[in-house]
Amino acid sequence: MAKKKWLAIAAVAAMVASSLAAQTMTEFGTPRNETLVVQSFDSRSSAPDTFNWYLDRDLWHGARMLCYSYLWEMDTANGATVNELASEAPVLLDNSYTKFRIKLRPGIYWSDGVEFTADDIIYTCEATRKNIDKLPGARMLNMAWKTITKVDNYTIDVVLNDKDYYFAQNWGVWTWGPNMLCPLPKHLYEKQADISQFKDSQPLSLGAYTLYKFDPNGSWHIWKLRDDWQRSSWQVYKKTPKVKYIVFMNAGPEDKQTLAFMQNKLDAATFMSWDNIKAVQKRNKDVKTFADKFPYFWNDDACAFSISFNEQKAPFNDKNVRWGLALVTDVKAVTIAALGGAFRVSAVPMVAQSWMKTRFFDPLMPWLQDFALDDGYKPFNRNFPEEMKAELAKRGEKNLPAKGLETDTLMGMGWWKYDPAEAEKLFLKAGMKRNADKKWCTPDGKVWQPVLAFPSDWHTILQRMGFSVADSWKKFGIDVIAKQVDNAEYGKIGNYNNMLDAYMGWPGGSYVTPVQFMQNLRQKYLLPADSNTALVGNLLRWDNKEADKKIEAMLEIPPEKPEAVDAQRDILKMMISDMADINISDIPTTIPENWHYWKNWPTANNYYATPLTWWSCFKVVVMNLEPSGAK
Amino acid sequence: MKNFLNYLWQRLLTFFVVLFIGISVLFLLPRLMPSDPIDNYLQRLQGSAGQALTGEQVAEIRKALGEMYGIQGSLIDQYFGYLKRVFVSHDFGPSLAAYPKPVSELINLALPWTFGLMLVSTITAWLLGNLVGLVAGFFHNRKFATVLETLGILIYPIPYYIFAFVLIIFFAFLIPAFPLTFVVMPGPVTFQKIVDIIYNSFLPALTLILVNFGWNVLGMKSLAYSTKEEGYVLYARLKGVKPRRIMYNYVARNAILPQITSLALSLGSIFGGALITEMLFSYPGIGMLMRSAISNGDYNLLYGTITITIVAVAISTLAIDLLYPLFDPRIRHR
Repeated sequence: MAKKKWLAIAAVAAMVASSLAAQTMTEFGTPRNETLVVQSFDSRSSAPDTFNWYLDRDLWHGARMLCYSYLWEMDTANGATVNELASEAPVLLDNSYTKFRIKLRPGIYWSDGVEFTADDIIYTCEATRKNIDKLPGARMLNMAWKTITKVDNYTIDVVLNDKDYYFAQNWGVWTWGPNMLCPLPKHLYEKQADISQFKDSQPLSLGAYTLYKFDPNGSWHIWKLRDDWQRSSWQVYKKTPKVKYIVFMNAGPEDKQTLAFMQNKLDAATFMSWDNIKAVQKRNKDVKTFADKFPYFWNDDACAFSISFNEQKAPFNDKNVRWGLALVTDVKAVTIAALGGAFRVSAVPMVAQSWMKTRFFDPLMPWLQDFALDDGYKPFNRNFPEEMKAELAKRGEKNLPAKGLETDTLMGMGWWKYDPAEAEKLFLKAGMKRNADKKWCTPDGKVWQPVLAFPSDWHTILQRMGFSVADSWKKFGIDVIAKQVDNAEYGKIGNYNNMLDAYMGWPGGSYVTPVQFMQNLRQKYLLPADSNTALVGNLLRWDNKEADKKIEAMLEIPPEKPEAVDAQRDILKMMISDMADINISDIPTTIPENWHYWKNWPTANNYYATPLTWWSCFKVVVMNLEPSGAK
Repeated sequence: MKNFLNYLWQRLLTFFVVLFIGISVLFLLPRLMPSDPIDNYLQRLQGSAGQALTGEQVAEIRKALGEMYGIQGSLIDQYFGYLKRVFVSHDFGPSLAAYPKPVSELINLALPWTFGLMLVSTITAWLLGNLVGLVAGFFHNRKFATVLETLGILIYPIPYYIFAFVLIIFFAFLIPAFPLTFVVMPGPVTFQKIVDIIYNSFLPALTLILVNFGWNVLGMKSLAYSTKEEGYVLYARLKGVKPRRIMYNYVARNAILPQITSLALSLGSIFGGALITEMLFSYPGIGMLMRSAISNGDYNLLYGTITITIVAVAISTLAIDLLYPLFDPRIRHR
């Protein structure tokens, strides 16, 4: 009897042990500890079976990061360009910046074993040009090149229609993806009767992963590591990817993603509200953000949050009004309301990425501190981050950065003073007046009711910022109408900028250089204030003839020359003097990452790449992830 | 018979007029939306291009896309083109956010999921709700009837999102009996796949059934209660007809009539999908397709998805008008 009892105990113990040792599987049938599960940026893909880059293809479910490959990729930790399919930087063939030689890296193979060569690039250019009227994505590439010639299997000469100082970025990757060129496999596409109808549902890969399975309804895609990944373009990075399967999926709304994180069914999300991140962290200590110190989130995005106006419309056409609004925007309250103050503010209308500091922010600091409005008032508050820290400390925040460089780098180098008294003077100077109820009226005596548009709950941080800015303005007596808009309408507001008065968003980007943003501020793009035609540039409707000349002159200077950066600084000064755009901060990217199955995510202390899953540089994160050992 | 044919002819005429008006109004609606597919495309492109596009390039792309998407030309030309597509070629053209994929392909992928989930949940909720409502109304002074009614009253007013999310927390998180996310592997239909579909669809279906159940309980309960007080029911009771027979043959048959109309309209609208259910459960269906069409300013996809709903509602009302005499002998045409 005793023997039977012991046998039974042993059997139960064995069952328990085996179940403990059993590998957890994902809903997709892959071993969890070999699978990275990522929330996709767009929830569901509208074209899940289309990977022909030049059609309206799947955008956010992994192809850009894991399958396609580019001549030059971006090292988003420092803004530098990485040679990926190209073996070196483009060679300038003359001083016109229209003739370039591209040298390709030998030994890179498509996932079907065929070598990638110059023929693929030339085929891509020529085939897309032949079908330009049927391929939505082919226009930009084919506006750029005039002739393309094969020198040998690994060398190509390109002649452009116009000079291009940023050839490597334009023909490679700028910030989060390729602009114009994504090489197509010639040997596959040339067999298609009509490439404009070819979806390419099982794409050949130049990256380390190939498409394994996907949901025809677009909820998820699974990518699998190529057996021959060493022959892919990822060989350049000299790292071994440890993740076998990568799932890009729509885990549902944020509340459900929170549950998925708690159950360790999700490894990374896109923008998530601070409240939900905190809720997850209470139950799952493995879920972390970019930094364990304030401001906790990654702030080196390519764009900045700002308040923009229709500057051709009264009273926004008066810089005194724009300056007045800046001085009554209580950014301390705005950033605390939106994200507990976890922002890096920037008074200069550009992103304050760490590598921009020495080129723009440090040199501009003395000018900013001396800068005075027409009445001699000096609006800049260099001490803003310290004041912000004091406020946050009062609210119980303990992990604040140390004074000096750390604060400058993490919380910015100052913002505008909050000074309603000075704003009052500026408004009066602009002809505005207060009525008996202390509400501001336009010069004709009507109560001024500007509409401030901002995203609704599809962008919770800007939504909260929008309400808080409106609150600041209301306190000053402006009868502002706060208008939340859906993302579709939001695009239209930005592209036309004729319907409303002001909107909050990210109209300017300045990854690597502010040149692209500035070139679009030229006067030739201005349309009448109430025009119903979409703007093709100058979305701020900034009307400054002097700046226009300066921008035109700057565009003629090759960017490697110091005069180019000097000119860019001068244009920034003009934008500030005019308050062309009330720049607030960099975009804080609130991304939780789960260290339960995968460790070595990029962090502030180990900043080897941008921690975003939807930029093409996510490949660098994938290569650096290590299994944690969890079953 | 002549009367019926007359009625049928008039009713069919109304059906086509309703369809024509609905589809014409639908043509204009997306054009009034504050978004369009070209702006959306450009916004995406500007994002990826890091603002590298010059104004001249943006203008050229804008023009080329207008031509490619077929949304240039006068509104009248576009309207007639649209009517031709709907009534003659039964095709809504390419999706403008997943160009050149035909809208019909997107709808064909989503429709079976929507149809399956909504049909099952609508009919189950209707049957259960009416049965419980009938019992609760007929035996209104019994304790169990009060309990059933209270159940309906409790469930009905809970906002769907909250209700569904609570069920998710219970059955997919605290007691993980069902999956948190809908995952069914593509491939041919096998027994295993059917099991997977049922397993994955159970929770979304349950939330829809329970919410609609509450509404049906309340509706049927009050109908059954008032019918029960009618003179003919009292007469039957005094004649000694058994309560069960009274309930089914006297009360249910009369009280169910408005509920049948309601069912027909619900069945018509199932093609519109269940957006919140689809979002919450990552369930593939028409609702999300419609949502993304609105977000992307995808006129053609919006036309396709809404036209199906218009046609389905029109057919349902036509069907109910034609079939109603079967349920209610008082309005049979002679």
